[in-house]
Amino acid sequence: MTGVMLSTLLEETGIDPKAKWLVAEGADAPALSRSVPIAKALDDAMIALYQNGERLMPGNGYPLRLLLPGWEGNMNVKWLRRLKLVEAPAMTYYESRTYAPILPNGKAYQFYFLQEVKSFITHPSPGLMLKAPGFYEISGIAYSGNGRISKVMVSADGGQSWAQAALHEPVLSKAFTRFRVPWSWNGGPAVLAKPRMGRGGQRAAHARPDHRVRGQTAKSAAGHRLPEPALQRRDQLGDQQRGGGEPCLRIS
Amino acid sequence: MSTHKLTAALSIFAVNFGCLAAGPNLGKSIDAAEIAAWDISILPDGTGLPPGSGTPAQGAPVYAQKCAACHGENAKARRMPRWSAAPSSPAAIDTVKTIANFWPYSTTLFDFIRRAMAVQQPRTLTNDEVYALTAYLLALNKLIGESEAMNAQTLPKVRMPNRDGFIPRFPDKL
Repeated sequence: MTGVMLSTLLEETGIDPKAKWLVAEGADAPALSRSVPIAKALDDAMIALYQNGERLMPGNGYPLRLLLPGWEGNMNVKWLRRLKLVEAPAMTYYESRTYAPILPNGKAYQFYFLQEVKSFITHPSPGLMLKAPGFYEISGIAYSGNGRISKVMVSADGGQSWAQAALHEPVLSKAFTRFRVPWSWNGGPAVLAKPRMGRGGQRAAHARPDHRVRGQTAKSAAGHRLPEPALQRRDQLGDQQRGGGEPCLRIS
Repeated sequence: MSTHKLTAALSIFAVNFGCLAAGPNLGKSIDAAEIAAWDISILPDGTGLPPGSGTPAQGAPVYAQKCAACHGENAKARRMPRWSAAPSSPAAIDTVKTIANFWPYSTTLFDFIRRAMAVQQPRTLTNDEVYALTAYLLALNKLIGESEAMNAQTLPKVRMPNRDGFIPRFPDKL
């Protein structure tokens, strides 16, 4: 993304000391609006005009869009038509209701904003046929709204053992980081587990298997509900199929 | 909208707040009349609520005409964001969120109905109609009486049951 730092614009306008939030509003049909703390606006928020070297595409918010690195995508308000500085959050529909996940005890998180460390495996991917045992590359994306990815660990045996993946440079703060690790598939059922990642030497606490390549007899975990905050959707489960006497792995 | 206009939109608030920035003075201030049509954000304390008023009885026919096709009779349809259900706090992680059991502020109702509804013709309802619809839905949820009028003074005073049911996820980011 390329654009103008919001802090530059706010420096030009000045900020009343009473203003603690801003309401960002789009020019779409429902005039989507979200409240943003001033601290984020002055930190790394951008009014984005370009993406990947060309003007924003219409569907991505042309002519300009708010960009809040590392925060909920919905807050990157498209077709930005207005920023209004206010003293308190507007408690818009999307922050009051939609982006307020309920916890098991009935309370709900509010102002979720930050997207913490997450990852997903893109290869092997759903629909891919692995025709024979041998070497394959496990590859995927890791990212963190807190900063730079320092390490990604991958398991191909359901989390019993882990290997450190290579990171594709450049590794940038709050940006998608591609990882890859070689994998020797022996033809049997395998569970590709969610990478464990650390930032600044710290290892993330929540490492859960999320990408399974399973035998036909394995029980489906599709109905399993994660403990709090239960925001992560389970990845689709894989199927192992055999045909023509040769091991054949299909991930669906 | 151009950056020029955006800067101007920002500028007007700086002017309103009485601050003069030391900068290259890009953009120009926008006349209040020019921005009035866009100035639709309502704060929980009622800031921004326009003149007008409406009662549940006035809202019922508007609802029937402009809302029921999607939200169902008495707002019971399940396929859209639900407006009405038995009032209670969320009991579990899969509780269906409703106005009565979830929404922390009544002003959000007015704000969202006015800015986004009806879905095929957003911002065509009059302020009186939006107040009446807000009153109708609050009364359906038994949060106000059947004859209570909603306006800029009464609406912010409606106490929503789940007001204190929220925990800021990252307090240090606020």
